[in-house]
Amino acid sequence: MLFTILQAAPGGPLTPYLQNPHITEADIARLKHNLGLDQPGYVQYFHWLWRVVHGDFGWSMSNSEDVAQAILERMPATLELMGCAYAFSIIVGVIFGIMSAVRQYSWLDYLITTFAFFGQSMPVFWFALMLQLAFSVTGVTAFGYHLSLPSAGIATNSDSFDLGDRLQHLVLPVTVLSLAFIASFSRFMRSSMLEVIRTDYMRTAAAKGVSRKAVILKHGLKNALIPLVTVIALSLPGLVSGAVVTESIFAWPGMGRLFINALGQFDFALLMGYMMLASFFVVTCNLLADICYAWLDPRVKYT
Amino acid sequence: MIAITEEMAPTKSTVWRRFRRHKVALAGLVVISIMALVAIFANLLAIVLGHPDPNFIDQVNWQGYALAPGTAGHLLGTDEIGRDLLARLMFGARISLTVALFAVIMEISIGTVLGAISGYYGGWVDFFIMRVTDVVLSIPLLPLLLVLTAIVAGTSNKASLSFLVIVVLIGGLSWPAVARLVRASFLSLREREFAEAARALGNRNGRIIFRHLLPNAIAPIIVQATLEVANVIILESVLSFLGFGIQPPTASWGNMLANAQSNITSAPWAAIFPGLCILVTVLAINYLGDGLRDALDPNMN
Repeated sequence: MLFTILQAAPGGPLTPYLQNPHITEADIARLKHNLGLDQPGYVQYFHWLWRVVHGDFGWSMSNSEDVAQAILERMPATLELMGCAYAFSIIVGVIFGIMSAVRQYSWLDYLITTFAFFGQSMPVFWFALMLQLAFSVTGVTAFGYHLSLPSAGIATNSDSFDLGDRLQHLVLPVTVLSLAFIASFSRFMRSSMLEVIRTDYMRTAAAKGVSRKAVILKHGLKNALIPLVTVIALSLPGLVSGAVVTESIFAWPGMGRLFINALGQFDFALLMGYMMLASFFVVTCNLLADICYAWLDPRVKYT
Repeated sequence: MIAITEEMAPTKSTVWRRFRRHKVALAGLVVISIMALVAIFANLLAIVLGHPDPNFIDQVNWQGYALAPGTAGHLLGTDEIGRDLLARLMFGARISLTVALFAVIMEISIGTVLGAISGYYGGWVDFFIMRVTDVVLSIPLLPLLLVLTAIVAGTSNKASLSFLVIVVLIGGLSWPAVARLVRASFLSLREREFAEAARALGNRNGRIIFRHLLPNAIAPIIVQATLEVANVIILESVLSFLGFGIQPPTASWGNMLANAQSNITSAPWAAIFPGLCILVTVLAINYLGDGLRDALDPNMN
């Protein structure tokens, strides 16, 4: 059964081999950049693969440290950012979706739909710049309060841990990273919910005298969420991409920024390590999503 | 369900009539047409506005910082080294829209052909193509694009290459979504009576795919192509913003923002206008795509 899931999951068991294209690319570039190793590329590739399997991603030239260590050091910051943004966008997206589906064609529905269109069309980095301009460069004065948010880094003082300070630093990056996902999740949730509302079992539940709120939240939500699981899982690569941009603008000390810096210095060992890890992360999460899907929807069976 | 699959595709006049009802989509079409016209006639418009060369530095009025909108004949001001912002925006439109257009043409062609083959033949061909699709989909697109452009930039020094490189890379990596879409419609189309009839008449497979099945799958492809133009515009601007896309001095909306970022306090207009162009264009395209989707849907009345 597990094997079938692996087969069905995007990427599947072939992934480590099919990563091949950009690894060989990098090997060619490495040949040119490094000492001019006389081994053919495929030999290097297998050597590299062999080391990766054993947890050795090589030596990062730009940071003068072990690649695996460099990435692992910065992983918590990235996971913090991505996790918060992911959770935030799922919660807000689902709520927005339900609200606009329940009140279809109301002004609220139009408002949310318009917001979703803007969110999907917004260039992330520009939105980040505008927020920086508004909140941290000048600060916003409203209702007698002067609101100013930090626009760079993960904490003011990296030595001591201050929750309030950490949260303040999270506000802008998470908003920026979540926007597009809130937009797409809420649009999807809306159409999924509208479909569910029209089904017979919803009418039956309502006819049995269950209150409208309970019908929507208990019977409707679970069924409407099922297709959303796939959309959420499929948006993960986008989240990783978005994190790279967000981190580089907000000087977030995470993997994405490490990646951008490595890019400027053609540090291919680091780049490859990052790509491998990011893809591995995405594939694992897709696998989890598939399992979730089977658990949520009893009609799907992996045998 | 049978009634739905047997539904005839709407005729041209029906599509237009339905599309016209979708007011926002119509507005989107107008906005995009204006953008396209500006992009096409950028050089003429630039002459009319008095700033024919987008890379020309106004040394007479420039004093070491960006000129504010409206000063010294610069309608939208200048950037931090004294180049007219409006002229750069217009030439930037040309670059951004051309990249998007060509990348999408490439992406749609690859995606359609692979999706059609996959859906029509099935079996191990289908399995193989779909696994490749899965793998490409599971790699985060932006980091991959960045690595590849960096490799190309590292091995060649020609800035003029960047346009072609970006088109080929974006087009060559974003086809999987299209392939999946086309495959899905081919899977159902190949079972229909007219496909069977075409086979019974002894047509070659290639002819059946392109002459009989593809015209019936064209509606979702058009919608997808429209939305992809929006995606590619954003993708190109991000790449250029991070310094791995269109190389300066050629103006693109993305690299104009990269320069503006460091001067955002002293010259916010240089950061606001290029982003606004991207937002408005992409928004218009998304609304257009939405309108097209409704208009081309065979189940709508």
